Amino acid sequence: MPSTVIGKVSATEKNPTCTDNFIFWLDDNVEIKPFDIVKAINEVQGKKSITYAIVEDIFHITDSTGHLSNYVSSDFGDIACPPMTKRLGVTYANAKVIKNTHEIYMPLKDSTLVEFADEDDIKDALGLNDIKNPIAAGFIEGANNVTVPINLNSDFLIGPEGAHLNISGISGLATKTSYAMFLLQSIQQTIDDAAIVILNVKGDDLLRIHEENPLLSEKDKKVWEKTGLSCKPFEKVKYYYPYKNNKDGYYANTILDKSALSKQVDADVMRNFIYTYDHDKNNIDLIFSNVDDPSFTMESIINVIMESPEFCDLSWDDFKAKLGEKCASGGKKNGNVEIPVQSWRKFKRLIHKSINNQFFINSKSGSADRRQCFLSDEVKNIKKKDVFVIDVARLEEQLQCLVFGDILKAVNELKFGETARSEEDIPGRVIIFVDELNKYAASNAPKNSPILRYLLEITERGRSEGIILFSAEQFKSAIHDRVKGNCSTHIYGRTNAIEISKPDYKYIPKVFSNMMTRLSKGELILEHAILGTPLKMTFPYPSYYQRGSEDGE
Amino acid sequence: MNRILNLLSARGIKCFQTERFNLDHKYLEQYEDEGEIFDSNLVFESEHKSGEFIKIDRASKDSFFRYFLDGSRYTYKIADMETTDGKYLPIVAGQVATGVTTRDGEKIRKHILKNKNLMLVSDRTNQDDLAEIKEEVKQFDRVSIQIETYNSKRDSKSRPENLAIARIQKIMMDMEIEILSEIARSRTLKPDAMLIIDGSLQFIDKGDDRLFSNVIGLSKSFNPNLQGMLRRKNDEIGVVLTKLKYGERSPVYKYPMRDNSRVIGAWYLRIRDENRMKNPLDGIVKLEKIAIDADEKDNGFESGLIDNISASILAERNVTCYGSDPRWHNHIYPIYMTEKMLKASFLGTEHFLNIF
Repeated sequence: MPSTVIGKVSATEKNPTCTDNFIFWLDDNVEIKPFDIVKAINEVQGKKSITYAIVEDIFHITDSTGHLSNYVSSDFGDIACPPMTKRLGVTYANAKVIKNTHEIYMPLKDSTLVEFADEDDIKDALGLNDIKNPIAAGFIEGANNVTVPINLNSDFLIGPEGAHLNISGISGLATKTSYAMFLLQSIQQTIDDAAIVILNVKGDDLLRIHEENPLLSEKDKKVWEKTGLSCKPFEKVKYYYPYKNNKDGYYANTILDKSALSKQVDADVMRNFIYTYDHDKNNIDLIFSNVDDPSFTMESIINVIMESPEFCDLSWDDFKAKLGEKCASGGKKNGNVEIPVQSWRKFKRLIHKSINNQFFINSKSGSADRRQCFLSDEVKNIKKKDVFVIDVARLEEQLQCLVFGDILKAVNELKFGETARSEEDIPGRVIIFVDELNKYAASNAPKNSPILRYLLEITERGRSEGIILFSAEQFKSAIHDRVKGNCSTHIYGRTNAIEISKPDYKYIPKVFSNMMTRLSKGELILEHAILGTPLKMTFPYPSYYQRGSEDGE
Repeated sequence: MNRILNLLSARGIKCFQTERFNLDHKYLEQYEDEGEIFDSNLVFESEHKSGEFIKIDRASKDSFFRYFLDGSRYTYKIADMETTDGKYLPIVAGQVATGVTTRDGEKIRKHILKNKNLMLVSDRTNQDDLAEIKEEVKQFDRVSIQIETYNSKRDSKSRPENLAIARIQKIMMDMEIEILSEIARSRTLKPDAMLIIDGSLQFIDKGDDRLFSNVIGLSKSFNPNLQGMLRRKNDEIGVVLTKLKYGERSPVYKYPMRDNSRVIGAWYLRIRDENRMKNPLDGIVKLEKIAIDADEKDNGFESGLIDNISASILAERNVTCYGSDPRWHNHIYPIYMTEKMLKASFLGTEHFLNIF
């Protein structure tokens, strides 16, 4: 018997084999795991086909009719009583067919030998051999010590055939950011006409991605080699921080430590972004993205601000004064639109705190030290292979919405030809990575949320225009259906039992969704448009500098 | 009518289709030790001459037993036939399996398995016709069928179906002896690797006594109405054994075989806590051993040997087939597993009946 044979197909009256599934019993000394890929030869009328299947549930049964029988078999409950003979038992597994070579869909017959799939088999089973435009996406590891690199077809990951990726999982254990960064690294090394925009939403996790990771061991580097990628940090990285009038801190409102910031200043890879009234008046609506506005009063006020001549040619200070006027008792009415003073007061209250942030300035400084820039202008000038990291970690939620919305708007304008740049010069695909997507596209987000509108535009039409969203969040169920529904790639990290009880996980085999609650750090489940089945995978240790790399995410 | 019965019809043996059914549940079998007569003059072992029960060490975790032999059969009535001399007799088919399992570590594995598919017609069938039919059946490539006859003249009081079943039973026992001889010749059995035969040894009338040196017969059921036990000659054994406690055995009783010089020692052992049983005789097994040499035949067995064998049987009490077999309290699991192996080797009833 070849050593890779692990069991035999078992077809019974109650559990027949079928085109989609079969059960096989296991040799007593074999260890398998859910997600392992197995194969069996299906011989039908002289034609030999290989059936590949992925292991789902694994069971162990004995001939005991019940717990009572086991209790009796231990001398009526004597725990110390050893049995002379082990009860007849068998371990068996459910396997879901993922591929039949030679298009034979006949069920496997009883007693057909089942083998572990080796590396070539796994590639054949998953169609990894003929992947076009491959992008390294990690590894799958079988219980038979086989490690197979997974490549995804870029056409299905970042368009035009399929696009957008969503990663979910609980913080700290799911390694969502690390995996997204690995995939972005893979894209940067593989795709020449792609540019990447990354939002750093917490800590300084993503603020040193151009620096090497000192904690990488030789073993880690070899894992990178196996993927076919170079183990190196990101290249062509620029960092954008909210402007703050603080000379000692290089005018950047960031958590990043000064020495690292100083190196970025020396290397001229950092800028501080600002918002002036003149340049960004039209983005004010983004600050109200998560404000519930059932009577559209805020929207009316924003329309007035954008269109009324009295709100033109102002500074932020003038704007505040103008708002003060509107909020004064007996304030003027605006044309035909009746906006009560109470609404203006509410508007003022909501916006006041935000526009007091130091990155709202009256006019852009010409001082080179301040490194001021308009974020949207920078994004509209992004080059192929560029990586922009925009730090919003220290901004409050409304301002994070403003910045993210500003980026989305800029990328939209860039890709929809609203800039003077030539087509050849514009990156073919701009990938935007944002964590905590639930802040911007929550399932209960206000319907008229401008940021949600941009996200829907990107996820529904961006695929063909080359605007790709890589997003992450703790709980997938909290994300707007149309945003996640348009993703061709879904990644699941460790999550909790409440989450997997949600309808989002209904079509994932129960054993796989249960596995999601037990995934170790660095283990993820991949669901991709062209793979017939979810796969459990791992990926290399981050190649860029991370604060306290041992913390993982 | 199907293929094999066609062969009979072709030779003028009229076959009539009947409802084909399993005979195994139709006839209540006798106790294997029905009519057993004890030599009441002595306790057939070196000690315990007083005839009192003997306490066995329940804590023993070792067993001398490594091999477990059993036979199993399914019998079916498949048709009736008319003989040339005007008799109306059944045609009976049977599937017979005998086999040995072995314990490898804590697990039971197949050691030997032999199967036979039988068709029994009356011995009133013409011998030459029968020989031709046997030859033709040998050519069958699907399933091997052995044609046998049953003696329909001998015992007019028994129903002919029973006579056919008795013949099948005999074939099964011969197969058991064959397997036992095979194992004995291979010198597989040793004092620390003994074999248990399921059932009484007294029906095994073939074979050299020495084949049975390391063999024990274990009966799950026994006749509780036997009398003549030692000093309590008037008490039936069922009454005597109600006083047998968990982990106790009776002394060895001797009974000589009527047809030959074989001498068997038999004793009873309670392997389950009597307080947990529904019936006072539940949990008691009957053990038998054939006396091998002249000294054993005359003076009985060494009590130490019987104690050790009993301790081994006690150690076999767990795990149990509770819930799967109503005789669980008198069963030991390796024998139960051997039975399962044999039954699993049989063809499905529909499949088997449609061969004929």
